[in-house]
Amino acid sequence: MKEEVSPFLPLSPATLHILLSLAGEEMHGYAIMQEVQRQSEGKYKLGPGTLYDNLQKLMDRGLVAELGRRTGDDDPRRRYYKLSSLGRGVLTAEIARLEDVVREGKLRLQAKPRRA
Amino acid sequence: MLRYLYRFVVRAHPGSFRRRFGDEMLSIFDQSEGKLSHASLLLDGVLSLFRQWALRPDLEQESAPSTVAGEVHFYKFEKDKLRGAALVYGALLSALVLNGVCWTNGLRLEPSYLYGVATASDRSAAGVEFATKFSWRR
Repeated sequence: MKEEVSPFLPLSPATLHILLSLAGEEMHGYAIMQEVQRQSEGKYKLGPGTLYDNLQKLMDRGLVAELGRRTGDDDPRRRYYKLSSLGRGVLTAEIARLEDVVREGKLRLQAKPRRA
Repeated sequence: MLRYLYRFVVRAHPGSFRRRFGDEMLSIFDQSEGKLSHASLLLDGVLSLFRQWALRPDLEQESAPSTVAGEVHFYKFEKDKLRGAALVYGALLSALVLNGVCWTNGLRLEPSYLYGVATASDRSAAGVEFATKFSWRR
């Protein structure tokens, strides 16, 4: 059964970056923060408060799932998170939406302004 | 000092949020290095504290259990009741922590600036002014 993704769109910048980080692999919170910083080339820094506030919302909505702790990890306090199938669908739809925005923007910026 | 303050801020978060993410927030704080980094994490924690108490009115509701492949990984039985004075408590706590951060970084804010408390000279000047106006009206 395919769930409707349009109610989740558009995504906020923080949500978009978190979902993008988890699209590749399962991660713990600190790794998500570092990945967001890497994706944005250091322009967007996510603090733990913002991260976990967003993760809480994403888990409650079923976009992200918690995997719990891992044995043998450097820090036993870490918990891992992964993107759910619904989260992947929402991210795919958001990327498609952004592609449309970029295409439309390029078209408009290239077109010469009309005289009144 | 900053870690102590940060732990205090984390503990002041609503119970459900604290139990779920408190340990991880402290873990991130321990992993980060540098006083500036710790100060920014503390500021982020204070903002998060305000956000959780003031902007998340549904925090006392039971969160949906997190599931992976149909298995319930997290569930809690006790309820978190939002206290009536939670907002006042959160605001007071935020102001205290902010003042503490500024103080530790050598940017101590004057209490009169933060809370609008008038000094003795201000009060006496205001009293003289009021008495002058009152006698003029009579």
